[in-house]
Amino acid sequence: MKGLYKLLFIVLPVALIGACTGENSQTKEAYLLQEAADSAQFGIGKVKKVIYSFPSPHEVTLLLTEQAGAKFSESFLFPLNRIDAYITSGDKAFLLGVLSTDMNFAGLYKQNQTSLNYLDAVVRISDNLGVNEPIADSLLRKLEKGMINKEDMLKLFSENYMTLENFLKENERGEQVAILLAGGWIEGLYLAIKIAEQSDTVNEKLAERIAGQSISMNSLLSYCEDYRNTPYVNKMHGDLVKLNEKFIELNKISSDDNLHKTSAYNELTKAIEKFRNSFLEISQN
Amino acid sequence: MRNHFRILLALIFLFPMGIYAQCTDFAKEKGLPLVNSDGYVSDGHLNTLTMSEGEEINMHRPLYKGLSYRIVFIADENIQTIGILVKDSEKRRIMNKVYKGKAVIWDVTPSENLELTIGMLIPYAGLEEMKQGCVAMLVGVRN
Repeated sequence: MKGLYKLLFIVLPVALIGACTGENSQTKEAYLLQEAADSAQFGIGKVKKVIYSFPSPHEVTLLLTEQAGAKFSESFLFPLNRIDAYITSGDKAFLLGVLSTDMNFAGLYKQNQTSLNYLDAVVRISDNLGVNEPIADSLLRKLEKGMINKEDMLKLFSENYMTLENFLKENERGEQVAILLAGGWIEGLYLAIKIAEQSDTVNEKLAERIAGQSISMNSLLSYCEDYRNTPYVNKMHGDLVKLNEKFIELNKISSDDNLHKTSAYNELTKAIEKFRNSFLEISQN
Repeated sequence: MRNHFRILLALIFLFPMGIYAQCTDFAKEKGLPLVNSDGYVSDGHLNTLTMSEGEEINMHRPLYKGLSYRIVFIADENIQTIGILVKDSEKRRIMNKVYKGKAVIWDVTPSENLELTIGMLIPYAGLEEMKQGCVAMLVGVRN
């Protein structure tokens, strides 16, 4: 309860200030609402939709891989020379998630050319999946010319991801959205593990963040539940349940106990790598 | 007669898609600029749909310590009032407000990992004609 009050103090003032400031204040003023009353009558009407929103590749990389002292290495990324081996739509959707996270990771570390190569691969695989919506040309041209800052580059990637996810949703391919999300998320965890291996300090900080991903796991399992009639998602759901057991074990340990040195953490990282590699290996058959 | 039936069938199937596409355009045009500012970058999810008075949507969303979030609630010109209810995983109310207008921006920097249920409601306006319009809940992230 104490934690909740602490949170309220941080959250609410920020909300009001946030509503009145910023570089786009003119745009914002036109749309901002005035507070009218202090309680909404929820629960008496019809719940039209329940959304399980899940961290996208951008958020996952921001949270799990951008660490002071951490170094970028291209060897962490999925090798682009393997992408043509993927045939089924399920495998392609998983790979798309993986590549989207790799692209964001390279972007965060200002590896423009690498990002561009991964963006190119993302566009190719998207096209293979029948997603042929154009991405923001003006930003893409800037990226090609190396004239783009990090924030705009991440916006471009976010917009590309939005176009992709939205196309799949509009075309009632929700099972591919679930696979895409899982691929992106697991790659974020995989990259975090690779970065954590670079130093003990980074490892301890990241171990806590990796453990915290158990709440994303809950959302992902709920999201996948609706698509378990698809064999790919059904298998993935089963493997996620097993992976979740490792998260549960880790979260039983206090974060003060040098989390990264515990056997539960070691077990979890092994399980993450195994999950990631097994889904990427399917297409090699 | 047969052709008319086919056209009618096509319209029945395409109409909801048309509305969804319209809401997508609305969310991108009006909502995204609010999200993609002040250093925030959209999380890439376009949560948008049409809603009528009395309807609500709930979004289950983890927020992580170490990141800052911007959550934008936006409705088109047909909707005059938005209700927002935010609850944590223990169902404790963090926010419960009604706003008049078209958009609310909520900036949050959680001090611990949170599993939130973020609800958006279109309250009854009490008019004869029930209002319906596009709404969107968009999330931006920065560190």
